[in-house]
Amino acid sequence: MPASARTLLDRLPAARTLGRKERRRALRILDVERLEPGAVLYHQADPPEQMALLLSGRLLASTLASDDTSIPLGRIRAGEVIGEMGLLDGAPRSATVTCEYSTVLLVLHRHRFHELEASADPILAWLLNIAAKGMALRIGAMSQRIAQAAVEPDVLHALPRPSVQQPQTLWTWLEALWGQR
Amino acid sequence: MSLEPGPVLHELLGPLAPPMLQLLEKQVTVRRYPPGFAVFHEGMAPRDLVLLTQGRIRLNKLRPDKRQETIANVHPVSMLGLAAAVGGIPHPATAMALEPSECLLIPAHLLEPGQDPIRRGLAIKLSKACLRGMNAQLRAANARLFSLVGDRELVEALSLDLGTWSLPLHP
Repeated sequence: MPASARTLLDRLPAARTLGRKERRRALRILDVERLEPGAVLYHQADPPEQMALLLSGRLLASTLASDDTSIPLGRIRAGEVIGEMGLLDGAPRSATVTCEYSTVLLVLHRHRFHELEASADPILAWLLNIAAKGMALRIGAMSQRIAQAAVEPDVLHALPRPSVQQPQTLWTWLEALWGQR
Repeated sequence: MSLEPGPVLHELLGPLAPPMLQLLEKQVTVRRYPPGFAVFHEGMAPRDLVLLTQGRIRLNKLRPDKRQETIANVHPVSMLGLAAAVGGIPHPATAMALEPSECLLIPAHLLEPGQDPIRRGLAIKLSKACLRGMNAQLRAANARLFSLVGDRELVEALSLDLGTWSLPLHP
């Protein structure tokens, strides 16, 4: 039997900053959505209608190149927030997001986002805080890679390329590349 | 001539209710830097979000081969030190004033929501401003990595792991 959203939220390290009552309230305010592999959460170029926190599972963001091939751009894992930039800026979705493994999400719809913002709701403050911290850590990681690439670009080229069809290859490649992971 | 913090903060954060502006103005420090002075050093623990309101600042990073590399020249009105202050990680670069510069220092602890609704509203506004600023930084970082590596597939593979997927490089 799949774990309940409540159990998944309680297990999430990012939820520890919320008290128990606030976690229960989050489950009342936010909608629980479950996706099966292959299901699409966002379509590229669609208007942004929601943001979400992953409680479990994994999503893949990809985009179409000019020759209509799909280019994988990134994976979103449990504890990460997705879709917040669309709600902040109102820009169409920059990528298509597809479910890779069975996924449970807490979804905040646009109209509710504005209500929560107007009342300075703790749940919204918490979600944006998670999103901001996640982005900050990515910038830190990116900065390290840029520093390395500035000195040793050939090291990057010498490694076997990852493939979205072979995620294990990706991990092996990345582990070889960034030994500190 | 110094800028008044109020209008700059309004520009950055959008309309601010008077109690929120008062809270912010109490916490914000205005600091001036002569040319050659550092706003923060690489590796230093962050304390503030830095908003450049006047002057020009250069961001330098120490490369593994010990050479200093300029990674950006920053002009008003821009935020600096975002990733470090938000993520609680050491500053990834040194910020040096190139000409007489003025910054507003916004304590990073204001990003934490807290119990008070005014404080929480401010945290929401600051988080939104930081997300916008960092999103732009990620795009710039991805383009920079591409310029260094010169291989679109490789950079996209790196982005795939880093989750920097708001940064498509393809046409």
